[in-house]
Amino acid sequence: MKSRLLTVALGILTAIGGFLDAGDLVTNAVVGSRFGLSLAWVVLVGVVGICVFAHMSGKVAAVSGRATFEVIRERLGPTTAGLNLAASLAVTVLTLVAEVGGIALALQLASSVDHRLWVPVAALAVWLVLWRVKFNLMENVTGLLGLTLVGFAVAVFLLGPDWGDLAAQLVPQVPVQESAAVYWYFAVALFGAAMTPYEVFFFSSGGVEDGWTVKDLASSRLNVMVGFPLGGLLSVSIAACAAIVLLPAGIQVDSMSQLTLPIAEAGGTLLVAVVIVGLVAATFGAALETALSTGYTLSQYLGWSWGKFRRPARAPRFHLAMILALVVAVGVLMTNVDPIAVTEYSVVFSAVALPLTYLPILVVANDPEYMGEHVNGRFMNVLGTVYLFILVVAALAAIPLMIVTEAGG
Amino acid sequence: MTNRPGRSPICSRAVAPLVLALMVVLAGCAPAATRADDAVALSSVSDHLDDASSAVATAELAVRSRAAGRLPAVTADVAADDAVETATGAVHGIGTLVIATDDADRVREEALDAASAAVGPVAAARTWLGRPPSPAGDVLRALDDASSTLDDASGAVEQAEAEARPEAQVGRAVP
Amino acid sequence: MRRTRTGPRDVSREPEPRQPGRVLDARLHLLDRQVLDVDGMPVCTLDDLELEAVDGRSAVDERIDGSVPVVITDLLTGPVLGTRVFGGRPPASRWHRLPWAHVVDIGTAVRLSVRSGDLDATWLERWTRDHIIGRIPGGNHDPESSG
Repeated sequence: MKSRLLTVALGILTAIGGFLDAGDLVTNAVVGSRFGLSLAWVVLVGVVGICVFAHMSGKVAAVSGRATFEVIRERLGPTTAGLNLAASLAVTVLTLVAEVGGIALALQLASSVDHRLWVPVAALAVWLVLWRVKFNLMENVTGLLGLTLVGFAVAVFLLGPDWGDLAAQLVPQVPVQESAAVYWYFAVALFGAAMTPYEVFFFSSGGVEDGWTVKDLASSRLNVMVGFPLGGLLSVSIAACAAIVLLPAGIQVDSMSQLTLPIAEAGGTLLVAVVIVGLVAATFGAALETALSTGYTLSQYLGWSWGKFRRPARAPRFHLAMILALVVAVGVLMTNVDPIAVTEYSVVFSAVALPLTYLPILVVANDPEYMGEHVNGRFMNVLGTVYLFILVVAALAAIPLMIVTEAGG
Repeated sequence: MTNRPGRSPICSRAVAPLVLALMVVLAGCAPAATRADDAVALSSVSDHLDDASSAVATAELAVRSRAAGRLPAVTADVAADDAVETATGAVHGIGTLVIATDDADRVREEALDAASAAVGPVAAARTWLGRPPSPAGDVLRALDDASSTLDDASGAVEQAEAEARPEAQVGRAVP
Repeated sequence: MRRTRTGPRDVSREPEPRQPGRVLDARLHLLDRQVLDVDGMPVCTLDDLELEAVDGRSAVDERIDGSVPVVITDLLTGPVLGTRVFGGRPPASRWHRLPWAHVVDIGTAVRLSVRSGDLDATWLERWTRDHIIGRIPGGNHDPESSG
């Protein structure tokens, strides 16, 4: 009993710690410094969405033993699934670039060594973990260390804001100095950051990696339903920190170092150090997840052997795909591109690619052949359909908004 | 093309007025387009000035936190480094804009001066952060000055922007 | 072996008489399914099927429509995927065949009775292992659970 409780607690804690990635960190800080908390509602919508999505894909993986992209290929056929693969892979690699850049930026904060020098080191470290460390251990360590990002929530309290004023900001409204198009552009970006498609590939494939069965469904649901909303709360607290300290000072976030300024203001050197550990852990964990996701999607589409539960020699093409993805990520970052800019684009393109993975999962979750008695209930289907609509609207709006606002101006 | 034998005369008769109409429309647009271009350029100047102000404020916050012993030296250094990059980026951005009219160009010059003047104090803030602790008063004063110069320039740009903008495009509220 | 209805669907065809056993639709239940070997190792995705008419004519030589009864002789994988997406047909020498006789179960995946290491279709997997992944230190060891 005791060990079971411990397992559940561990699952929830890693779900919280693993919720945030570079996209969430950057987008929430940018949004907080420009819009206060007036976009916090998007995080709520995104968190409910990722819960629905992760729950469905986890259930499909647990019941059928088949991961997301096997299902997509099987349902959509080679052509449509191939286009889907190309889009998903492009977005996932873009996210990987953002995450590896994020690790480098976070390490720069702790060392003052230029982030470009950290990029190859970070990529090598990611690869070594993928190569040698067991799935569970990797998940638990990055998840638990990522929990130190609770420092942002602590900072909100230490800053002692005018709570009434802060609550008033929660009302969705376009600030006077920003245009409606920019507001909605960042709404889409925040939504894409909360619901990145790689999390779904990762979640379903991770379910197979962990050997989930129907028995594990309850605990997986608990992890998701408790862990992700608390992770969302951390997202909002990042935005709140920016809204309390950076917004009044007229600081628009364009670098990761600015994330530490409200923390310094609130908790001093110690809290800054704790949060930097969290930044490294969160981006590192997400880099592992995105790298794995590139391997998962490609291998599952082509039917290759995959998974970290196998030794690399038993899944050679899967490991080769991940190595190539990391090489591409390092190559892109070596062009001196701004990792923050890459991150901002990656979350918007995530929003574009989301319906591609969401729809097949929704279809299969209703397929008795795969799911048997575990097909979606009426409530899940209503929720699933509402989210399908939201996802399609966000995906269609993303690119026009990006053009109109010149990527947020 | 129109001389090609066998081509229906109806076709060329229809094309001529179309081309003419297009030319008239384009000619009519030309001056307005320049004014609109300037409005866009000035709004871009205004964005870059915001960036410069943001960089100055970042440096100021980093210096204050460091002076109070609340920010680790390495992190403060990175924050100031990023601020210098943003500030120089703003100068580069303003300097490379294409401006059509003299009026707008004067405003741009002013903005460029203000943005350039901000780089020094931000860089000085970084230098201060790298040294053993000393009173931060001078650095902060310089940052304050840069900040108010930038505010003045922003005000001027926004005024010019409102004037340059064609009547039809007034839609976005100017604070 | 289960009886299996295959071939392109033909609307003009008479409804088939009820068959004993389970009826599978080639497109719905076979194509693009994951193929697993006897140990549960993924082998490939079922990219295409090779059909043969019961009277011995091969689908390669002649067009077989829905009126001719056919049997599946092989599961195909490899370059045929490209031709299913872009059209055309790869040279028969480049087909990777998995004999239908190896199939033991069809569920959410197609299961074989053989080991994937013994199949020609997985040569690229072996090549990658022997020439790249196996040569990197640690590639032949299980992942560490501590440390």
